[in-house]
Amino acid sequence: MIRKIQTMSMELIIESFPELSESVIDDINNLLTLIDDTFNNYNSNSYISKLNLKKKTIDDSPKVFKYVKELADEYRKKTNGYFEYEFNGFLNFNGIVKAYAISKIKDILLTNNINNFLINFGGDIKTHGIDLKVNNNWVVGIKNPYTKNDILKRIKLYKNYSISTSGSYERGYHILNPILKKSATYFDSVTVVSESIIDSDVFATALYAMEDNAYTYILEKNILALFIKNNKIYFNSNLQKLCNQ
Amino acid sequence: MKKRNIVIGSIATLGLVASISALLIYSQHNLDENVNLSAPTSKTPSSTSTVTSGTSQSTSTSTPTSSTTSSSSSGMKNGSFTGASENSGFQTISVTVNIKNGVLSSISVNELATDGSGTSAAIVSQAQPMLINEAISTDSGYISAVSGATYFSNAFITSLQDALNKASA
Repeated sequence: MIRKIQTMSMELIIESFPELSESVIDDINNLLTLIDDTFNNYNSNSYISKLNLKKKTIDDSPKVFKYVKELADEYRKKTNGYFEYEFNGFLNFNGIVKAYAISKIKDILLTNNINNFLINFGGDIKTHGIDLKVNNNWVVGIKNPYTKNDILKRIKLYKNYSISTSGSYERGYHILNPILKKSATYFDSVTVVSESIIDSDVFATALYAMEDNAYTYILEKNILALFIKNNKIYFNSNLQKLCNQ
Repeated sequence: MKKRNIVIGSIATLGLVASISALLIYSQHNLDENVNLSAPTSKTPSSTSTVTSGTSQSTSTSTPTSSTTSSSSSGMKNGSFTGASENSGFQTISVTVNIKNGVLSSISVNELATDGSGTSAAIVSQAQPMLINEAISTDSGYISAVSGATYFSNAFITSLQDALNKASA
């Protein structure tokens, strides 16, 4: 029921009911190969590496690149520039590619009549249906950013919700505030819950980058978010309803 | 419960990442805990070229100073070693490792991004109180999975490898 695939320097874990067939796994591998060949900044043969080195032009871009770039442009606008993929003239779509991959894997599973699953790709999670192990909703724990293994909150994900967390604890300060051109350090972690995995992933990163502007943004846009800062948790009342009591 | 590993993409890159991922996970969690971490050279990949080759965004901008005292049986020299600065596309970082008695004792990330300012106390004072807030506490109930920031920076890995190579030189 659980499949693990190493790709894009991360582990992709799919828990599904029923189990994935070989042909579904082949479809997923083909998708991941396409994404890796297109967007991997650390592969000199990828399209984006060649584009950044001026060995390719935007006119040569594969269809998937055009689609993801348009998506990224939409989110850059939605987040008032806090979601950014271009820096010093170089393009890097790592902030959205993982979510795009999850979204496409979800489509593959649904097309193959797999309706109960959880896709976990580097901590970004998409659920569908229920967890048949316990015959109940999928429940995802939010990691304590200050310790190794503790869970701070459990979120019950009905309505096929997705959940993503951005934080600095795994690799030092790594999210840039693109407006101020400095690393974002205000939050210890930011978690977003949404029906769309692309929404949850991009908004988690953008809210982290927004720093203290994130509070008003989630209230204006009605985003389900949970912030951890200085050993305290802040979250909307709508998110409270999803927390296991 | 059936588990299966499928490897695709750049085998060399993934091999490098896999071989040091466990080290990184453990090290990152212990940066502030002063925990000694053994890093035998057999686990240290011999080259960074599989990560850095053709990486248009990785720009080695400096080679910070390192200090050494003596070699040890592990092949790692004692002292502090800083890897080349690496640009991940969004920021520039370098990684410093400290070797004590031939053992990797700490890793730190040096952030080289330009600084700025701009917290708005007025906005925070208006919006933050509208959110529920509570002190953190551990929840040990049933979970299907964990959401956390688990994505590794290749810039981090590249600079770390460079620092370890200097310690082993």
